[in-house]
Amino acid sequence: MRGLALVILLLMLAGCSAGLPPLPPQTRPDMQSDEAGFWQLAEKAETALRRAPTLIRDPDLNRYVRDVACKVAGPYCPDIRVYLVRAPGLNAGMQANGAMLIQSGLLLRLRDEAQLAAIIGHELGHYVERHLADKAWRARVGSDILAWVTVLGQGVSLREPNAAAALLAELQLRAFSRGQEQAADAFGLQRMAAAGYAPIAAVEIWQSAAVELGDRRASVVNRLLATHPAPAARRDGLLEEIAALPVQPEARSYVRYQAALAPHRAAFLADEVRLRLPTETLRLFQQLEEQHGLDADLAFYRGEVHRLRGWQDDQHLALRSYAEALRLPQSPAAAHRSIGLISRAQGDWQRARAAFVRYLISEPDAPDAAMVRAYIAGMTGS
Amino acid sequence: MRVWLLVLSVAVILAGCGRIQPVEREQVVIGQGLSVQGSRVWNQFPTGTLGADAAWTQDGLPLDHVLFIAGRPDGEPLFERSRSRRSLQFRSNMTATEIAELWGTELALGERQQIEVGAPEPKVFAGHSGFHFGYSYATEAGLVFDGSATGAVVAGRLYLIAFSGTRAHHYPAHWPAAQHLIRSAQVLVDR
Repeated sequence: MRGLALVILLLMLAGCSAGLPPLPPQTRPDMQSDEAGFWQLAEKAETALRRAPTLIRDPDLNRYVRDVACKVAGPYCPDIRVYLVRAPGLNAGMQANGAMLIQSGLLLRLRDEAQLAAIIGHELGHYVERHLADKAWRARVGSDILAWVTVLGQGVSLREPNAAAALLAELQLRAFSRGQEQAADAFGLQRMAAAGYAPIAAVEIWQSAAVELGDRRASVVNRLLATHPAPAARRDGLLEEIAALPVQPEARSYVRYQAALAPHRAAFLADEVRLRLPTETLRLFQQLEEQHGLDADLAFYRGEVHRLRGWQDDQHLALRSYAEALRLPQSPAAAHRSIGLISRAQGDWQRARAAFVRYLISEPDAPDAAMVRAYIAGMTGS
Repeated sequence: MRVWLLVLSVAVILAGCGRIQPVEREQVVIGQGLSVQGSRVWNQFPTGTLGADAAWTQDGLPLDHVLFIAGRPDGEPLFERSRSRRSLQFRSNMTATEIAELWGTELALGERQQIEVGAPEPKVFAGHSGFHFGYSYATEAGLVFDGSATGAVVAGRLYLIAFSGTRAHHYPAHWPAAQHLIRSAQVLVDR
């Protein structure tokens, strides 16, 4: 009997919902509400974010992203602030108060402005649908369930009451998270279509993510995927939503997006390489090559992934990539240095010396010129 | 909980257990192969703290720290946490460029952000042809650190002393004392 009462209580709590309606433009939550408290926390986080050394402060890139955000947000434009943060990996997020964060690794992965609009529209959906406040509220309900069951579960007939409650609480939170993601997807698609962007761009993001990750559901660099539905399920849901849209615009703005990203692209590629997750990074670079063709920076950093991994064929693959990089316009001089490092490790000192010399000729004022000269001087045995 | 925060928490707990030892101004041998002498008293954490052979601080590990790598052999990682990753193992034929790259990756794995690793320069360390490179990073809390690593590969083993401190105060305040440690370094394999 007590066990039945316990289950009924759990189901009642699980059925509770904050049921918040969408937030109208230029509206703050009632100051007496729990949501206002979440906003205050978000405002504190945003204040810290403004001072963060990781913030990308390039005015041109920020202006560009803000313009796209306003185009997608429409009447919500004054309500959102977009912060670009330098960090590898695929991630974006939204605070309850309209502060949106986009990681540089995500910018690198997006093909065009339509894909950026898809991300902004989705995150905007979380804001308008008040998911952050709802999620925080539900986390509290989940804790309440556990607290109640810890008290009531003592001695009842359920074999593992606390474990059951934990499962219920977790499922409740997960289920709402999944529902919120779908709602944000639907909102985002409507907004990006209204702004004239091709909604299929949203599907492409998840297709690319699925290819990059392979069998790994989430990794250290892809936290967005750790909290979101599997990419394949996401893709199918989006396709259904797109089919239901009343208009199917086609704007992509590929050139404009890549031009905005161009000054930062090499640095963002280097950030990915530094994480030394070679399998995922090589998949990512393969996708970037398929999307944009091979340029000197991409060929060079692909070589760097192989050089740093150091598996059996990697030195050969790295050398091939550097050779490709050096045949392309605007090739980085560092490709010569990397050829020198590999050749030196292979004991081919003649080739290493020649590569290091070419590096110094290309970059006579390189900050590591003295070190490279020391490498040359140290190879005296050939 | 972030791994780095966990490591620091453990360090703080250990500190509470009274395991921090003062290091007086006398010659001290780190691990099996690196000898240094401080110009002032340092606070030493137990071996393995932050994954290094020794970790010393003036004002607390979250604010400043000297990490010692005392004779890392070929095939071993710089830090214990990277033992399972083959691409993060030190190789005795590595150049300073490759060691600096490895250092940058270790910082990234330690939840550091905005990592910049400077170009290595030749520098004599413990009487051997070695290298020096600067670096900087930010923590998740937004605190910016500057750092400096000096080392050499001697008889196939890596010896390195790295000092990190907050850019605003601890790095400039304690860099002279860290430099004294670096200048005093001796590799015992020489004996």
